[in-house]
Amino acid sequence: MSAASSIQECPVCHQIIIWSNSQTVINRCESCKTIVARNKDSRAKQIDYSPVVYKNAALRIGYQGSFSGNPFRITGRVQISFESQTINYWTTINNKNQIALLAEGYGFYTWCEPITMRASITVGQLQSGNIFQSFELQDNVLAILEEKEKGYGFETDGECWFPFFSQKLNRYFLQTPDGDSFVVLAAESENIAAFKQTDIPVEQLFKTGTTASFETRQQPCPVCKKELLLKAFPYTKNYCCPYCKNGFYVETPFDQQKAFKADDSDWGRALQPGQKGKIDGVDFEVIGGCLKQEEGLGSVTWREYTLFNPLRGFLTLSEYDGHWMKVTDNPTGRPCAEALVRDNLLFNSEPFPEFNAYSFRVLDAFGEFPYNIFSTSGMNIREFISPPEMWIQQFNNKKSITWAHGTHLSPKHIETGFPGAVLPTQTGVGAVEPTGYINPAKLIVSTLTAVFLLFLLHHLGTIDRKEVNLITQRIQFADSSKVVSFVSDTFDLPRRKNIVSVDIFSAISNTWVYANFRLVNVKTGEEYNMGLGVEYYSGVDGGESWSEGSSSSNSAFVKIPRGRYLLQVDGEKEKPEAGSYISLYVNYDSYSNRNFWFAALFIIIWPVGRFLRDRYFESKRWGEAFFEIE
Amino acid sequence: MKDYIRDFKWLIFIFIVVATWMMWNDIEGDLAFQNNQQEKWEPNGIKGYHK
Repeated sequence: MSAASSIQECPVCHQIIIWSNSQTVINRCESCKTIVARNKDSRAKQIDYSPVVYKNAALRIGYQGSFSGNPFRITGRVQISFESQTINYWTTINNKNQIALLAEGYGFYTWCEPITMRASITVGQLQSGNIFQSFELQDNVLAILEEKEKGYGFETDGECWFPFFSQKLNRYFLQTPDGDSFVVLAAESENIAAFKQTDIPVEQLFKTGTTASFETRQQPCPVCKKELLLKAFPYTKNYCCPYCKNGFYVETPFDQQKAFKADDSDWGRALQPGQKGKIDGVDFEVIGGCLKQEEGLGSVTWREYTLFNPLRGFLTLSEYDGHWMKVTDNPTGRPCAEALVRDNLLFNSEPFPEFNAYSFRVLDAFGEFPYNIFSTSGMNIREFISPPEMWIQQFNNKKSITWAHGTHLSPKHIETGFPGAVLPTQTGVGAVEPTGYINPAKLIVSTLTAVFLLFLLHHLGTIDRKEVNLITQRIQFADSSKVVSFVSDTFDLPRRKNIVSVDIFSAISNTWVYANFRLVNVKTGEEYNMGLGVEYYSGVDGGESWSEGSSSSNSAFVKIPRGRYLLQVDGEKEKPEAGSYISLYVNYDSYSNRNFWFAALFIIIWPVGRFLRDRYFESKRWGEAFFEIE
Repeated sequence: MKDYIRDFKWLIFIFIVVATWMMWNDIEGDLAFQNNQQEKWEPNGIKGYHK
């Protein structure tokens, strides 16, 4: 019987075992429940692997879905407990009988398509590889090693395909600078297989309104033996007994080690275990919480609450000084290690400057956690912000560089989502509290663009002005007189509304000259009046010469209706003086930038105010560091 | 683009108002903050001259 056969005999009970696909290699006898394996040359043989004991998952055998428009069905799974996570590798078979794995865990659903990796990459190379080390997985596919972790369990369910069987299987996560991600599974004896990963959004995989429910695991505390209820098993990697306050690390569901002793301090929990609520319309239950403290400084503490939804996975709510943030671990489209340039993270062309860098320890905890919160040794955290978002880098140079994505939440959001939450008082400006900060460079460019557009509009609106001279006249005072009069010839103002500009000049010294202008419509008698004067003073005071005023001045009649006009001028001066005169220049259709300059001034007020306001809020957010990053 | 409009909605609003005002003045033969009312011109009485 070859591997392609669809029916084989169970080696234990001799009942039939049906293989639905020629490539599947693990199956379970329906009669005696024996787990069997086959390869290309052999019959089914019994293998020493356990069935999946803790079956909690959103997907199930027989589930039918589609990926990239290709329908598939699920025939089985392999569940592996890694150091920091438990993953189900579901076997999917599409309509063309092609096989792929669909990884599920923590609300993430990732399509794993087998790829042929370069033969030169060995298990040993990956084992000894450093985080950040590059591997050429395929020709011209250079990926950076970002995670490496050991696997401790290998449990199967249904009819599965898997590249090899091993109880000691390591997982390596690599990512290219373009964001393509790969996972390599490797074990001893050069068993190695690589997959290209594609995250599938929950909405794409499940129909709207789909829900999932998990069975609660009841187990005694390994120390005080009191009964505990765990709601996210087998994805829980840490839990803390509420009675004896001991914390435990779940290596596999059957191997749990004491890892922590909580302080049992009173830290004013805003949310309580078992409390149910909604975040962004998704139902969640509070299953854990902890008090963390920054190493070294001693006083900075913050609180984190673990929320769980069987379909959507886990969400962390982080609270510091009354400011809230929702945090998703290892989200889809996380940054690549290469996106880090000095102290900045460039993500989707958006700069995220480094806000904080620290290591931490857990002071107190309650409930359960999907990650190993008690293992903080060698873990360095860096936070990069672009409010209301934050990228949190968790770096352990021996194990992984992982990312979590945080988004600001208002206290009202928490209050509405979790009625009954006891919210702490808010102080200061939160790390990612949106204050509407706008990058000054962006502000300057936008303002200059607006002013330029304004000038363009003004120029287009006044381009047809001709600047026509109506009167050029020297009005001479009589030597003995302080007054003079002048009446111009009539002239036409042809536009619907006209500007008539008036410029005067008088060669004066230490005196003043004044003229009153009357623009008279000769047909209607309507008059427009304006006064214009010049004064100029100069002298020597204390050995220094000084001068004030000007011998010329100008103004304009505005909005003058179309018609025939004349200009009457009545001049006056301070004292009679021989040779005094007023030079008069009157133009119509004059070009003036006055409207543009006032408009530009109004435009500039908002950006200047915005800059000063942003500076105030950002200096409160960053503290002294604000002046260092400027 | 959506983010840009969110950040600069006030600048865009002010630009529209101010540009409309400016163009209206240009069309109407008006100059900003200038009117045709009789203004009684008075010498400043410059301080330096009286020294």
